[in-house]
Amino acid sequence: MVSTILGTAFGLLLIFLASGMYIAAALGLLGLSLDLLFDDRPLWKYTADMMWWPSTNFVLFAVPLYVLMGELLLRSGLTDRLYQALAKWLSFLPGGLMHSNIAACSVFAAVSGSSVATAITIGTVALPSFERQGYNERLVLGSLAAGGTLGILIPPSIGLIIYALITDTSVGRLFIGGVVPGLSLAGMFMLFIGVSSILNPGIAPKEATSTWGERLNALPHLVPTGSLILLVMGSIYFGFATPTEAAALGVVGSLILAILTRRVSRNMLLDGARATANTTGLVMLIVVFAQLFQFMVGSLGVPRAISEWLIQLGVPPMVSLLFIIIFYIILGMFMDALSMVITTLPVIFPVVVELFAQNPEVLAFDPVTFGVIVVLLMEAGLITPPVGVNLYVIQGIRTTKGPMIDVAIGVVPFFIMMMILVGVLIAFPNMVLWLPDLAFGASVEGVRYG
Amino acid sequence: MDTVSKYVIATREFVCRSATYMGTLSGIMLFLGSFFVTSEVITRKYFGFTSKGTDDISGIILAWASSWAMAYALYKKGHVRVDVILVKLPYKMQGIMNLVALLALNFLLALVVLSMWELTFAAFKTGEVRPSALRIPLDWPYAVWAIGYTVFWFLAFLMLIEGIIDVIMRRFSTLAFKFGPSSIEAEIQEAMESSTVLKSNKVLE
Repeated sequence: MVSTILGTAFGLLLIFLASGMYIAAALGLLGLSLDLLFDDRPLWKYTADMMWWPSTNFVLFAVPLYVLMGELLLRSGLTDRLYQALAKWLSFLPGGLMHSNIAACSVFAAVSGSSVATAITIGTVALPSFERQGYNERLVLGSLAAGGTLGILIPPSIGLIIYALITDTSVGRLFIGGVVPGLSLAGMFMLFIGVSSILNPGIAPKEATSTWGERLNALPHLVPTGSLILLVMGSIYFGFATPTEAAALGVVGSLILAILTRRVSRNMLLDGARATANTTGLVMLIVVFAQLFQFMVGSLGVPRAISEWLIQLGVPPMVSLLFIIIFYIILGMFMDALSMVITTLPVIFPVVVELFAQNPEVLAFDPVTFGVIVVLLMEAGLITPPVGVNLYVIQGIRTTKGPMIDVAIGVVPFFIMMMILVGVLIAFPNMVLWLPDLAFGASVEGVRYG
Repeated sequence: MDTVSKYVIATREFVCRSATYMGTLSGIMLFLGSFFVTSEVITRKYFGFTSKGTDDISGIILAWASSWAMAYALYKKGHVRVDVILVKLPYKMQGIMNLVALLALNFLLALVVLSMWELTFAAFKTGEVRPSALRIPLDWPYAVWAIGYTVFWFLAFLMLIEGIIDVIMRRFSTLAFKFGPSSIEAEIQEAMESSTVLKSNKVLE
């Protein structure tokens, strides 16, 4: 019976998605078909009731707020000064301005919940600086496409909020848990740029070192973004506000910044409002129908059946985890990263939890660590062709003519770094957990398995 | 057929304009929501006062803002589709697949919208309230929520009719262009236009 359900579900989903259907519609129809075919309770009659809960979820309210905050920042013109200021501080390093790419992406990621927004914003300001000859173009493009993906790893992160909703994990813990891996990944990117520039000086020219006077003069340009980071992440870390409340504070904060930089106009606000509405509409539609799908799949016992089947087969949990990682890497090539996670997590997460609960001696599993790993895999999905949004974004804004493959080759080393970090996090989950444990005390939810 | 087509297109364009207003309103609701939550945080922290309704009220704002944004996102080609295979097909197939996607969306939305109005009318009859401290009545919140999805469905329905007419009149490439997934170039263009980054660069120089 379960294999029939699973076969039907998988087959239908594949057909629905491959035919180019709206992902939300595919999920909703799949949920309803499973209900009609296999469940004797007419759940479909309660569609609206089932949709109301995720539609009014206070945790999810953070998503449009972080989007709105990003839209305001995008329009407030703070990022170009931020980039120039970081360049003054970092360009003396081997690898020159490429370090500013990563650093600016990391800083912007700490106020933005989206990777595409990060890549567009930083890419547009950074690329003109590279028009002079001397830099390896592929590496420059790669550093921007991959640096942009930090947007969803370094909190706030829309990816982590959606993960929290589907898996019922605390957003605060996830956000704080993302800090160390996010900064480590940025550090690994910069280390790679530095080391390869030392080994092969041809890839980056030596930049003129800025004087301390220039550096200090540039500092005030870091203040606006810095204070927003402090406001949003600080209020979460110190328990002053929940992640949703911090998002609201962030919106007000970025509005004040935009007023101070004299960028606020009626059109700017309305444009921002509409752009936010568009993103909110598309994210919420998928989330709401994914919840419907999750409910149907859960009520049919599909995730439990899969994990029981895997346990019977005697597949070690680490091998299953490896398969899940490979599955996400492959899926990430063909699907939009957020949709990929929303579509698959309702089934995959309970399976993983069950598998590790059965084998606690192998590995202590924690939903926060798994969440950060999932987001790293989403990041990888953003830079793997043929569907890697960040590749297209950077290709779209590059100032030189050239084939798309330049960007795709440029991100390869950064992709490898991401995979190394995934391995490190599996081996040392405390890298994720120590900061949230420090901020909120050891896991309060009692959800650390094993 | 041409006259029918013209009327359908005109109606769809009218609904798109309305959807744009609704999208703007949705964004404004989110602004107001963020002001509300911020004031709650500040009054709670510094004045020890709370309305106990942050979750309820912002939850309802989220439901309204997202439902009123749905039609706008459809018009702006925001709703995500997997287009790896689709864009490689000949125009004729692309056109037909777009029609299939719209048909599926219509089917689902019809069910959703009917279910929403059923819920709304039931709430008006029974006086259902939100099970929380404020006990907010749910009838009007449901109704406003249902309106957003109803307009969304109406737009999807008009697009479906327009698509069927296009197929009958064998305008496959028009159909593939009009209702196909958004191209990445268009998305980037839009993102760039919305950003003042480039312009501000010029200001700095």
